[in-house]
Amino acid sequence: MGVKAFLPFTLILIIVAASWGCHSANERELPILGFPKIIEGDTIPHTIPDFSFVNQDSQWVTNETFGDAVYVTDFFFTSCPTICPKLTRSMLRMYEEFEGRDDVLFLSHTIDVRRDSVPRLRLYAENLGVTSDRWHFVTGDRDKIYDIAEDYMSIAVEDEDAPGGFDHSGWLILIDKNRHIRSYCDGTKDEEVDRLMEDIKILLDES
Amino acid sequence: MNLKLLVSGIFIGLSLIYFTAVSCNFNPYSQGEWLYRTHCASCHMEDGSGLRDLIPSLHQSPFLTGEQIHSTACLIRYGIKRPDPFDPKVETYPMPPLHQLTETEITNILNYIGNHFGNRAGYVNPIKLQEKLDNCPNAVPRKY
Repeated sequence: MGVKAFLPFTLILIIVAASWGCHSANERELPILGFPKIIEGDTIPHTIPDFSFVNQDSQWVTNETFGDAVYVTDFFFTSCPTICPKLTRSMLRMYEEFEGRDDVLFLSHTIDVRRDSVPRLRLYAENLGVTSDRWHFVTGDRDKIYDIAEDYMSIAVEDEDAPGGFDHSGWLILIDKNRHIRSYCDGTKDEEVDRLMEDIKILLDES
Repeated sequence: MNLKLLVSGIFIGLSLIYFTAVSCNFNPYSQGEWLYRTHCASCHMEDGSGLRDLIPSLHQSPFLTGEQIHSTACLIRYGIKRPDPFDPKVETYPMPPLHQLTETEITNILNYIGNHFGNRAGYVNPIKLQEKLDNCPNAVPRKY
């Protein structure tokens, strides 16, 4: 007896723990984020409402534009002197990572609708070397953009004291084909963007 | 007497360790690097690669050669101003000015970026830099 009797148990424990670890790593599921609404006893998860904005090619962009694709969205403006270049670079990194896939799309909202006209957005996209096949830069009614920022759990406000005149959060937000927020990250941190790219892959495997 | 010897022995030993450690990790551009990260990296990126055609890369930059580097001080202090391509009456700053930086700070930034990112500008000459800054073609009076 003694130590030897415990050996099988220990082994079983180790095997169980190891397989549990593998299990949770492979089957990681993305939650549906945001506050659910309860309507007549039914729980409705947080859903991105209808929107329609105009992109860099003067085309309407709506919820239908994304169809069965997942998309990553952010808020920026072309003359932004602070975090936008870094956000755009992170978006570009993902755009390149999923090159050739039409089920991973990108949507950048300008929060400076007065200055960022369609031609200005088009020049921005051209200088970045990206096209509206996969990445939409949109403008539209100011209040509608600020409102939808809240639905994406982001902040977009005009603020004279902020550098460049606008204050906004640096989140990159991942939306699934059912208009639910499934993941997000701080777009200024490379390692968080890496994690978001993993989440995109998990989301693609789901459907 | 013995105590004195012990204390000075410890002192000498510690300072030896300290100076060895410092000289092993000697980075001649520490302030420049810090200032670059604070003032420049949000656009030109920490690795100096910029952003495609939107923001120029600093890698092997023609502005950061031995001949050009002193003139580049003017770009850092007064920025780059040009008419808005979509509204030519309005002037915009594709590169914003950094009026708040002193000559020393600009020198340190230039020493850092001029000898990183594949640039081989060598050290900045502070006297030459001051001359250039006194005669900047793009100088505008600072607005308070």
